[in-house]
Amino acid sequence: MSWLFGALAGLAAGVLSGFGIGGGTLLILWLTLVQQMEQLRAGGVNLLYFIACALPALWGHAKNGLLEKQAVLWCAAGGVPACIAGALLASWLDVALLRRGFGVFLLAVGLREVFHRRKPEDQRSR
Amino acid sequence: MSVKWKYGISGSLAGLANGLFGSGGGLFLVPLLTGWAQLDQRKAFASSVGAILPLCLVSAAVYGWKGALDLSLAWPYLAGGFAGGLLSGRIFRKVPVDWLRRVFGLLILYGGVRGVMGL
Repeated sequence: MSWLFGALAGLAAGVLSGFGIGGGTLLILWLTLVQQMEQLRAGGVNLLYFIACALPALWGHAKNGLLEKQAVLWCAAGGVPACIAGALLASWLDVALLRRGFGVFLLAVGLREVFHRRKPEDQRSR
Repeated sequence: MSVKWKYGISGSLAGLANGLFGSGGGLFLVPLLTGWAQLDQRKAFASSVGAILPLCLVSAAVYGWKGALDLSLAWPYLAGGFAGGLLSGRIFRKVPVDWLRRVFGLLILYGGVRGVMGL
């Protein structure tokens, strides 16, 4: 039965990830806190999960004309070398330290998301 | 600074989080794209997904090389994630993203406290 809970957790996270809200981060919390998976492995599951989730979400976003090609291209170009460095660092760091680092990251992100100010949506189109 | 540079620097911060934690790239990328590169909010959410997909592929390759990928654990999440992604692309325009972000923030704070305390 645990695969069913996994698939449901993936579904819920997948909707949020497709929005770009951070479903993957929630999925990692599920994996580490509920399933007791260690941080690095949970990160690995999440990377695979995101690939499966992003493809259909992007298809929908592209149809709705929401993909800014320049942003996608240049963010990816800047991101690839950085993610190689980050992944190598993660595999080298002690797992407990990695988990604490992730905790600090979550606190910062959580505070910002809870207190973020509403922006007048869709009035800033370029 | 040209907008391309802003995109590139934002992307590299997202990449660092993506590689290090296996997640969280979008949490850097979306606010930088909206606040710094002045991209419309919905476009920023959608484009961040597009930018992070290749980052996940590269990070996953490094994780796999280091023996940290376990497909037997991952497949239910892949199936659920695929369905969730399909759904999100369809309903995105109708969803109150602001409220979702606040609920999300509370869950994340809870995880952060547990993580920092090592619980």
